[in-house]
This record gives sequence, C-alpha cells and structure tokens, in this order.
Amino acid sequence: MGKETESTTNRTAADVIAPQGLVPSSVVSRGICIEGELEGQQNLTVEGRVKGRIHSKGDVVVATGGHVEATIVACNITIHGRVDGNIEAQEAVEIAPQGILIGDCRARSIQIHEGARFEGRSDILK
Amino acid sequence: MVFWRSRKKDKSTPSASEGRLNEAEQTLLGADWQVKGRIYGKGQVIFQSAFEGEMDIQGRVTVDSSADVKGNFCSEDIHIRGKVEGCLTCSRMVTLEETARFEGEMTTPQLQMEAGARLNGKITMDKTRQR
Repeated sequence: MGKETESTTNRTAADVIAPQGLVPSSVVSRGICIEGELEGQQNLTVEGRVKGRIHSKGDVVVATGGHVEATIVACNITIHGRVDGNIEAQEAVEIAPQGILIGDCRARSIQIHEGARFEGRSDILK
Repeated sequence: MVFWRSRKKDKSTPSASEGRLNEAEQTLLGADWQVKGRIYGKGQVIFQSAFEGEMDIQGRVTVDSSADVKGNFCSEDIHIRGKVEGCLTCSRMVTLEETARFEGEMTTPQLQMEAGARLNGKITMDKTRQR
C-alpha cells in the first residue's frame, strides 16, 4: 500500500509540475500560504501566497492568482500574478500582461508586457 | 527562462497552472528546498524538503522519505515516510510507513504503523478530535 501510494504521488507531482527531462519544480498551490523563508536550488511556482523571502538558484514563477509579499532572488523571475517586494534576477525578469510588480527590480534583462503594472525602480545588471 | 518558454510552446505539456486545474490542489516542496516559518491553508502539502516551523493544514500532509521536518503540525491526515520531530495534532489518521522516523508528541484518533517505522515519544489517542 505504501509503495503504491508513493509512486502515485510522485507520478502526479512530476508529471504535472515538471515534464520529464527538466528539473522538478516546487509549487505553492492555491489555498496555501507560507510565511517565512524559502531557500532552494530548484524552480518554484507560486499559485498561493508567500510572505517573507524567496531565494532560489532556479527560476521563480508567480502564477496567475499567486501573491508574493516577499523579496525574491532567483535566476529568472516571471510574474503572472502579483508581487509586493523587491526582486533580483541573475538573468531575466518578465512581467506578463496581467502581472503586477510593486517594488524595485534588478536583472540583466527586464521585459514588461503591455497591460502589466510596475511601480518601482529598475536597475539593469551588467 | 528557456525552461518556461519551452513548456509554453509545447501544447501537449500543460503549464504549471493549467495542468494543475485538473488535479487536487497540491503543494510540493522539493528536496533541495529549506523552508522556515509558518504554512497554513487548505489542500495537500508534500514535503520532500527540510522544514522548520508551524503548520496548520486543512487536508493531507505527506512527509516524504527525503524530508526532515521539525515543529508543530496540525492537519486532518498526516502521512510520514521521512523524519519528523515535534508535536503532531491530527483529526483523522496518522500513517507511519517503514522509513518513517518520528520523535515527539502525537495526538490522533487513528494511528497506522508499518513494520520498520520508528516512533519515540508520547501518543494520545483522542477521538474528540475526529472531524
């Protein structure tokens, strides 16, 4: 029973979150809130809420409906939802059409789509 | 960046948010993550990571074999395959699989233990907490 449960859980998480051949992601789903510090090597998708600090060597995606009230440091940061806090990407920041960023942004490249909202200072890393 | 773009182009592969609409709401904290603080809300939470703090989940919590969690935890169902240290309050059932290592206090109406699981601490079987 245990092994069956484990394989089912892993298959679901892996298939849905990370297609084969890609680094598995972590996900904070809708309905869940994390207050505190998150540090990791992997990609992270936030569909729920995070308050505090996110530090990742992978990519961070704030999905539609996701709300982050935190400082984010990551390789790439993509915002479809809302971020209140300063963000820093080693590579690129992308704010999608419905995305909202209230805070300062530092990155090697910054892409803000039409319809996105950005209130803060931007700084391009060299 | 390339990672996310490549997924969008592949229509056979659902994006993180699209694909999850058909699944139960599932929070996954991967093995390379370290989380400190408080986690609360409704859904299913799977720990493969290290976690230290408090947790109050309406739903199911799974502590996978790679996970190491410490603190106070409150949930409906708690399934343990990894290492847990602290105080558990469960309203339905706690399951300890053979790789589980638990140290602390536990209050639950039902407990299921597999051979090989280790449990050191105090257990209170409390039916009044059953929902």
